[in-house]
Amino acid sequence: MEINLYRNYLSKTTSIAGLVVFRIGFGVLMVLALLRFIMKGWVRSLYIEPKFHFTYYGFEWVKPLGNYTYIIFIIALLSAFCVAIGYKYYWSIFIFFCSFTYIELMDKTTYLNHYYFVSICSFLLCFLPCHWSYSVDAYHKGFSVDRIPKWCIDSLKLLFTIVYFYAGLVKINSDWLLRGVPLSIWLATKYDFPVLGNGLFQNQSFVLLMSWMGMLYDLSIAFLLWNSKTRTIAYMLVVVFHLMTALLFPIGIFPYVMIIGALVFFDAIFHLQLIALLKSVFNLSRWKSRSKKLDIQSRLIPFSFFKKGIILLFFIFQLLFPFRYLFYPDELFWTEEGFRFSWRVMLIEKAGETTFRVTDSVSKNYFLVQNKDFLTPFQEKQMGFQPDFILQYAHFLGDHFKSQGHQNIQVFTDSFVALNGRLSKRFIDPRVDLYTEKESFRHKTWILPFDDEITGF
Amino acid sequence: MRGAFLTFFHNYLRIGLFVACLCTMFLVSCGDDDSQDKTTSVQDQQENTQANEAYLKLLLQQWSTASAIPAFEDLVTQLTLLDNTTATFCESPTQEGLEDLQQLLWQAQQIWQVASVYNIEQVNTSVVGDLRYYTNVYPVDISDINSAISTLSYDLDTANYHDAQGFNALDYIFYGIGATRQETLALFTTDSLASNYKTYLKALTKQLLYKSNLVLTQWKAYQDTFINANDTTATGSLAIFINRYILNLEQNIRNYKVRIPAGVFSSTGETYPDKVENFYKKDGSRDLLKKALTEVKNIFNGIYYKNPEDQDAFKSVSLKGYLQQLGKEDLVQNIEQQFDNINEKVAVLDKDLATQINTDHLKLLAAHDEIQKLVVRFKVDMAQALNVIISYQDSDGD
Repeated sequence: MEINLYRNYLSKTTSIAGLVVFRIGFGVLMVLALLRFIMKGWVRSLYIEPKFHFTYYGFEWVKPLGNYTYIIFIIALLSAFCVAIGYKYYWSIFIFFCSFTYIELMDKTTYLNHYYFVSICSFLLCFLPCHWSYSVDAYHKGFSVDRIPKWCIDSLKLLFTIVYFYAGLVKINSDWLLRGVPLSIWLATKYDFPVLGNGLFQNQSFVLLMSWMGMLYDLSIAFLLWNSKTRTIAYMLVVVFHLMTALLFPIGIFPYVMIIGALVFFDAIFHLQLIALLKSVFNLSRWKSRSKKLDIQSRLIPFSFFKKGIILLFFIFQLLFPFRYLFYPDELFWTEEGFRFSWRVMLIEKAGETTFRVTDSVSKNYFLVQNKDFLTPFQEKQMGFQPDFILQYAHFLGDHFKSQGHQNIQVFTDSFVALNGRLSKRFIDPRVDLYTEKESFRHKTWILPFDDEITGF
Repeated sequence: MRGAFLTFFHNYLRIGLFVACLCTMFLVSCGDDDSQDKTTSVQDQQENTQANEAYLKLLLQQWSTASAIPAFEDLVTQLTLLDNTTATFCESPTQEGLEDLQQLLWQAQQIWQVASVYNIEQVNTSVVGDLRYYTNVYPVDISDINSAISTLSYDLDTANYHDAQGFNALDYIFYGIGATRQETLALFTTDSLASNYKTYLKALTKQLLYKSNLVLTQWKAYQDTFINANDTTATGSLAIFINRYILNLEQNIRNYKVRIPAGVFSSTGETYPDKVENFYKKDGSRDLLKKALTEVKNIFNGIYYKNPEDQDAFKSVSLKGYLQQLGKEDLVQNIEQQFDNINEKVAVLDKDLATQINTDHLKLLAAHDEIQKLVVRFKVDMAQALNVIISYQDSDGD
């Protein structure tokens, strides 16, 4: 019975229009996002100028390529454009996924949840037939397919659902819901925000209301978008919510990714009309008339058991991975062990000041390191409060001074961190020689305890 | 084409209108809340319990109008006096004249400890580089100074001569170039290079005055912009000033005055007593450290260089008060305690930090550790409370 339901579900079909709209929206947004990134000079300031890069554990080999780093960005940009027009789609989206992910892995200083979202979304798109219609590919081959398996479009909706729902789930904690931090920290001084900035943003009850609304929005919005009865109003909420965050915080293109992306929840009729509109705007009406329509059955062969298996595994991973923090002791927000890749967006306000003492273990002589000799201001800031950054940098310093002829090197830290408006306290055990500590997935015992409690997810 | 537009809008115009209505309602309803709230927020303002824009604006006004500009004005006045007295001295060098110059230099250096907190990048564009390069680089390179005097070929505007000019170059000439006052005086009178000495000395005081005056002029032109940029983004004046305030503590005070001479950065454990400020005067370095620390504390407590006429309106605005408005009483207490801890450790130091380093440099390190604790409070806790980005670098967040 259940197997039948499953089979029935897999054999359901729907219009391809939703996938096409998503493909075009995604491709165009990525072109704009990458152009913006290049124009702002960030390739140079974030990837070429720094002398040292904070790599991901296991991906130490992924590094910027000096001035050739621009080539990776150009590749990503061109492939995003090809995705948008549907030219050699599978190759394009695969190349986009690889180049974009490479860019993100080069330096974790720039880690952002929405870049991670772009990476995994492009991974999923590698398996979806977004180019079967309204694409250069379809035009060249002289055929198009109007209907696709329904699960294809549902898988995109599921990905959005996970992102939103998890982002809501992690907001269920005592800092967010009861103390109203970090929102109160960020909002209190935003006097220039229209209407709300002078008065309400400084009002604790109002900030708590916003915190709760943010949590409820994230938890429920995806389900409201699935449901056809609430969809319209839910989409309006999406627009209002993301525009508001765009006004309040420097979060780049993310709000627009979500606003455009959430269109995937709409009905086929909407998508078809949107396509018709696009076609008329770009005067492409004659394109489709040349191609003949193919039946979906003749095109289903590529959807092997293997591909479906990968997608299934992908989603199991997405559902479980954010919960890996449960394997670590102490407060997640403090140690950040299991913090990344789990939709903890705008969740904490953290700052740190970490200085390093390079010591000769025999003579006991030591000297302090000027971090700005090796790190950019942005790197120094991110390093200040994240233990894996501190460890990697300590090793870099040890190696650097060893190569300069220093001997019996030990690297100690003086590290102080403030989390969500609490007074700063010592973060790393100053007696531990970090040069002898190794990076691993195990708990870092040299992080001093948080000594406070934040309850919740 | 028009057909498609019409179909699309026929179907979705209603949604669009609804979104617009929603946004308007949202804003209007919030506006209503705000106006109902207005009476209470004025009360709050009076009771200083809620952070507000007006308070921030007053702060910016104080920092620029009551501190930065008067301090730079005094600095320029003092340096004009120094320059004029130098001219008189060079015409007829006397012992009294030298003593006058020494006194004027010392007073100018005191004022510099205040002015340097306000030496923000935005008023430095006409200077080429940082005003500090032309005023307070130390240790000075005496071989550069001596060769400049003997050859008279130098260019004080180039980076090579940053450590051959400014207060510390004058310190060297007034106190260190001759073993005694008589010897120094002899260099300006009977020495075969006497006219060279005079030329270089005049060049030094002229350069100090010229560069400081550029910054003063720029500050005056900039002050309205500064006061009006009361937004709290990375380019707002609050962020600009707080970054400077912290950098002053971190670099000018902690690093240059203490860390470097105490050998904290040296990989051999060696100390550098000759790298203290005012090395040749011998009894000034501790007091300059004290003066600079006092200014940090004064700004925190709202004691400004020159309070404006209308004292009542300004009296109570301070960084401390602003933090209290933001509900950071615990942090304020902590910072005040830290000021006391620093004072305690600095008070026991020798008047000459070089002597202190040679006899017992651990005492200076103890003072350093207390200053470092204040750096952490400022950079981590205070910056977080003020929601100010420290050493901002353009990028996205999430």
